[in-house]
Amino acid sequence: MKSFLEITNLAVKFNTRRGEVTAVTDVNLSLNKSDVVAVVGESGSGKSVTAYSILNLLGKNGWVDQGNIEFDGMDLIKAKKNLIKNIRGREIAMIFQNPMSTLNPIRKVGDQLSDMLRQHSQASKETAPKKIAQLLNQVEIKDIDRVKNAYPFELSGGMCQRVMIALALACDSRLLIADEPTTGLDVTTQKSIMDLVSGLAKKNNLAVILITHDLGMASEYCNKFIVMEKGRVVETSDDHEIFKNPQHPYTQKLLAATPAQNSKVEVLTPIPPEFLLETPPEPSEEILLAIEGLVKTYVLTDTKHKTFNAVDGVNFKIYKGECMGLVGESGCGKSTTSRIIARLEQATQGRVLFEGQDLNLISDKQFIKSEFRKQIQMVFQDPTGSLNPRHTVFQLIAEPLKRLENITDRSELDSKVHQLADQVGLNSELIFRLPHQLSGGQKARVGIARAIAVKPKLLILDEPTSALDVSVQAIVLQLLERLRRELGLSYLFVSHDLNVVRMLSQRILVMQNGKIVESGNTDEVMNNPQSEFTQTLIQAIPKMVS
Amino acid sequence: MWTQKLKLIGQRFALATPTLLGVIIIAFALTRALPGDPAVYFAGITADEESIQQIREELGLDKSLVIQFFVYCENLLKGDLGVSLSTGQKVSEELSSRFPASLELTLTGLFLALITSIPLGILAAMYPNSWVDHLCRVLVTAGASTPIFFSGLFFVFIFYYLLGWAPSPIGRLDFIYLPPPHVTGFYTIDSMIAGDTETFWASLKQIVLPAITLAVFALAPIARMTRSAMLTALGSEYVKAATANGLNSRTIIFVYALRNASLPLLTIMGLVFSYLLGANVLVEKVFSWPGIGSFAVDALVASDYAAVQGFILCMALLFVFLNLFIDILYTLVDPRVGIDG
Repeated sequence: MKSFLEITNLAVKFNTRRGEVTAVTDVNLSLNKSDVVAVVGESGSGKSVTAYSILNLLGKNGWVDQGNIEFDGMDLIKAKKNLIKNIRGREIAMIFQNPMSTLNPIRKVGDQLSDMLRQHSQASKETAPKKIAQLLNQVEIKDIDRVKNAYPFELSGGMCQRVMIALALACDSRLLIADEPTTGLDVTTQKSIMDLVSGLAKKNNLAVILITHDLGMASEYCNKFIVMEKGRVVETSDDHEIFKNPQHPYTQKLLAATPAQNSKVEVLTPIPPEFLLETPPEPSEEILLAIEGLVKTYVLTDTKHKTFNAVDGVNFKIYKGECMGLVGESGCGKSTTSRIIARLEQATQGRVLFEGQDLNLISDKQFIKSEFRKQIQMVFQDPTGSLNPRHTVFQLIAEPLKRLENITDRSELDSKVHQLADQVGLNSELIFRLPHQLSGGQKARVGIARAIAVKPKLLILDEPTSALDVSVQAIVLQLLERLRRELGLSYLFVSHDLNVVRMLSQRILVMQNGKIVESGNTDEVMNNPQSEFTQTLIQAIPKMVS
Repeated sequence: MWTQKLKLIGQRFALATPTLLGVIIIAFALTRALPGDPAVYFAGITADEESIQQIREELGLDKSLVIQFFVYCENLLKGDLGVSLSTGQKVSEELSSRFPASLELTLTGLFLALITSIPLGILAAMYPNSWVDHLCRVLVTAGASTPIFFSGLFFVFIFYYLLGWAPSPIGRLDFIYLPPPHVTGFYTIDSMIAGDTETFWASLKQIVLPAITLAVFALAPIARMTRSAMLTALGSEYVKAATANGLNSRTIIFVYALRNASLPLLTIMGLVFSYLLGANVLVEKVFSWPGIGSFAVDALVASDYAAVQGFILCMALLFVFLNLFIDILYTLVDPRVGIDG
């Protein structure tokens, strides 16, 4: 008997400026009703292209070059345009990443649902409101009346994704393709969205293709697995055996690089790098940074005289040579805290004591000239956005040296930049490239090299790996760990991902609503969390079965 | 939500007041800075020193600028824009009789530009690098690079002189017709109201060529903006999602893409309309159109300061209200306006 969805020998090509590019070759996939299949891979692996070709959504410059896609006995490659249009949304539905931007920004949520229902003749103008209420109820939205009349920008990311799911389920479709549905959402939201999807899939006997880079999520929610690399399927498995006994070297690498509950930074690569095998130095007892009663108040513009404390009385200390993790969900104030310490923003109240000196007492003008500007540096979240696109790697790394160290001698600058590039593992032939000619991992290295150029004592890492693939993340994390040990740096590691923070940090702070709700040694916080919020956070992390 | 919007619209209105005040001051100051003495002009070539002085006193030009300004403001409040030196008519009457002519021409030009450029831009965005896209590109380049008086003269040369399709460029109506009774001031509409089809056709024939001249000028920025805004909207995630949800292409293009693309379009439309008001001056000259543009040029040449002042004020008012209108429209179309700002 034929499977519900059968993809055989699929090859997809794209017309680009550099000529024809093969995005996917020889992909085979079959799934039955009520299967939940994970297509796992890193960026450029062709996992999304595979999914898009099912509904012929490749755009004007892409086409299926070879192979077959059969859905419930229908040939989707040779199908007429009209048939495909009726299948889209009706038989096969999709949800995407960035739920905020996948909804029409200037159309009410209810109207968008009604567009969908009426397109596929699921409701008339009269019956639509009732059906919409049912759908929103199905995706566990409580205040249906408000959401129905809201525009997407008035809803949270998680709420928008629920609306997308409601759209996808509006016509009782039988196959759901979820393309990284929780990327960019908080862990707790991620968990509730994925629980919702898998619950609905079971209830409605829905087949699901989950496209993800997160092996943990795949393991927790799926029962079939396909691993893709560079447009090819490298390994498939019909059970969780793949996590215990991966066959292909790429799967092994991916598994090792995925942070799990107990993985250590040195084992993120199949062969642990030598420098991490030595016992790490003990952090010293000397306090580098002490934060006392830090408050940041914003005045809300739309309602007069109302204020909002983004940071609400935060106290902590960082010792010399220590990595302090700062974890919390979006909007909890962790970024504001780190920006105040990096002196990109002014605190409303409280003291930032760096080696005993209160930085808040120094005016902005003086701060730039002072030693402290060199001693506190930052690595930013977006490796692409934080590099000037018209500067070469050399210029980018040399900039802080010129500005803060006043090095003007060309040969001295030259040797320093090369030394720094070497330190972060940037090949010297990359030095005159522009950012767009670099990979994500290389850009991250430039960001780090630039930050350590002026020999800071404290490095603030603001989600330094969240935009990177796991295998690249693994290498960057190892690099950061090595630099801390070699240079005796202190880190404030800000992230939403407890598993990542845990590997580098000796101590962890957990923030919620501008306050620190838990702090302590990493092992204690992870294994014996005291606050309820930390417990929810830890539970929400997808766990790999192994 | 709605009270918030109304408040926002009220704020926009309030913000327009200082602009208006500034315009009054500038209009006054500019005309005083014009070279030439209006009293000399008004008195004629044969006048002697004494009669010039007499006229100067009559016009109040011997008083200090501050006093002149207050007198001007006082008259403004009464709706009195002064008397035109060259025609001897009240400036307010002069302007109000000529204003409909300009407005009719501008609106027809804008309308022609919109009905051609928007579909063109949409099609060009939907089929990049097709013949429609190339046509769009050619028209945009031609429209943007041709000076408006040139295209006006060019059209007159081709369609009136060579082909004889268009009537002679002598204003709003041929001499053999009488203007229709005044209702809106738009000859095409008034003649229809009067049921006079012959006059209607005659006035339509007169307006076609100058309107096309203006349209060609306005077409370029609108078509280019429509194309790029549509390209952005069609490449957006919400259009991708709508396609994946199987919505039909008409809904996707008009409800999902075009409505979002209309936001930058509105902004550009305001700009284009103000360009058109400026371009009008030249077109009216070329086609002898009796609008306020040609009136203003004549007044400027004659140092007719009351008329120039009136013209500047009139145009500035129009600009302010136009921008206000666009702002309000924007507020109504985009639910996000004023929430995060």
